[in-house]
Amino acid sequence: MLGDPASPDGATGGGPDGCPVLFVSSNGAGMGHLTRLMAMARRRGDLVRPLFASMSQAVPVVGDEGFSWEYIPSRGDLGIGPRRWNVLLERRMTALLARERPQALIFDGTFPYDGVLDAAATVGGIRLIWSRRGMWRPALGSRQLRRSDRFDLIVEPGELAGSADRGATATRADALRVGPVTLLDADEQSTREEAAAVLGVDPDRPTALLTLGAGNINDISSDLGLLVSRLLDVPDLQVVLTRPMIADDLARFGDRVRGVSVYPVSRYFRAVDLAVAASGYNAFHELVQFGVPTAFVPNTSTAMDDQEGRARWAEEAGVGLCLPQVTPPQVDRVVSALADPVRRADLAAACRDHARPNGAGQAMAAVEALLGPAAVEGSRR
Amino acid sequence: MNLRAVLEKVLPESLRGKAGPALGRTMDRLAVPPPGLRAGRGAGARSWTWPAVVVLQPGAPDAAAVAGTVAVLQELAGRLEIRPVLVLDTPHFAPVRRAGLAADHVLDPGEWARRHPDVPYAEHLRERLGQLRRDYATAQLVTLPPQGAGALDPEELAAMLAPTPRRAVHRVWQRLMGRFEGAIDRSTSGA
Repeated sequence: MLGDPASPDGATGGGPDGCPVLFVSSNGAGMGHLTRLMAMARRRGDLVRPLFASMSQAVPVVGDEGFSWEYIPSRGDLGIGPRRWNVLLERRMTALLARERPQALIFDGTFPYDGVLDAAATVGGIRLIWSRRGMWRPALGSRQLRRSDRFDLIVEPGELAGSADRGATATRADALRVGPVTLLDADEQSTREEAAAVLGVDPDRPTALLTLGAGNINDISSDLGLLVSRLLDVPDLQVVLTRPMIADDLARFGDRVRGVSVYPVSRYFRAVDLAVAASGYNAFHELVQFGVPTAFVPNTSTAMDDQEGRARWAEEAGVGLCLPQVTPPQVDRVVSALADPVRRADLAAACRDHARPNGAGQAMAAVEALLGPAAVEGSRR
Repeated sequence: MNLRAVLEKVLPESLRGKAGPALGRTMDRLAVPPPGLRAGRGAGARSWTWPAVVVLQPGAPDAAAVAGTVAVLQELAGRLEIRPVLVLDTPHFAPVRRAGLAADHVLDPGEWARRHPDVPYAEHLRERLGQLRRDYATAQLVTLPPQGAGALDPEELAAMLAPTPRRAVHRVWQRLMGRFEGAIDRSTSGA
């Protein structure tokens, strides 16, 4: 259970009489869409009752938070064509919206699907909000941006690397820009000792976190192998992998390497002294906001997310290192930098300088302001 | 010149924008199973127009129970030439995805009661299963025990999953329509 910043007693869900708000996420390379929506839902007001509908098969994690969820298969999960999938999606969403009668639908994804928008129009009376992360790959996305006017509110989760954003949303003025959205605030992190216990490491020795995300980063097995072997050259360093490896692979590195499957891993960053991570929105902002010295490995196979731009910015701004290719010389460069305690302290200090308040609460407050007290009260009758 | 290029030349943009969704709706109304629907790893292009079967495994206690079902369904999919869609009311989707099968979801009775205490779960389930049959263009729905396919006699299960015999003309029609829609999907883009 994550715990709930919106209610000190840990109660979640807003109560059966709360104003239902439907959080809808597409299925991306990782869990970014779902995690941003969870970050918002956790910071809702007392009268909001969050429901989740996600195309990510990881959606049951929201159940750990006490939120209701439904899984809607993505087109990729079913393997079917776009036209037919949108027909299925529209029918499914129409039934869901008619059944749950949400006052608002918050969509997080880079492409607002016809099936979602048309279903909302059919059912009617639903405020539409687009949680639209920036940092799109240059020259992409004009088609989906034409759908912007179908939304009552567009919220743009803050981007620390915003000055390097060359994407189609960078120059638009149609979104409310909030701070970077992360699931946890710093005061929700475990102590170093507690975190070390969960990660299975010794808190008195340095620990590296290796998290290359869910995407396809080149040949992930060989990349991981190279990174782990170089990290193990650092005396006394323990390595924690978030990506499951087959047991034989893990065993060949010995007892200094641990595989973990925890969510959210950011809760345990206080036991992490350095990291090598994909530069997706979530991992990037969690690591920088929480001051973890990191080498960022951009996932170049994402459809829209300019992870290269984000990783390059990190190195230019001094908050991290960029590892564009996982080659022996490049890996040696970043590992030797991260192994140096003085360099790590410099990176952590730069992270602290660039950190901004969590924007999730601000985004949720904007949604609730859009709904207004009448809608919230009306749904209770 | 591929089909997309032809369409772009022949149809004005406004019409093209409507043609795609209209095609999807037409095929849905004709009850043609969605082309491309996954049939498990290794099924290959041959499975493109196989009929779909909705398989419901309510109350699966853990991922192992789902993995057991998945193993049986993978074997039967190739043997019976069907595309099973495994429908769960529990969060154990990972084994289904790993096997390259399609998964879908229904609310479990407890969740339904929390959301809609005044409406019987059976009513919701009936409606939802009807929607699933329509979505995957199949009249066949097989319900497994919580422990999954491993708890059933393999041959009895195979008999339940075997596609309903259809007239040859019907099979040919479905196959042709599936191939037509699949060809359109491959040569055009859209979300």
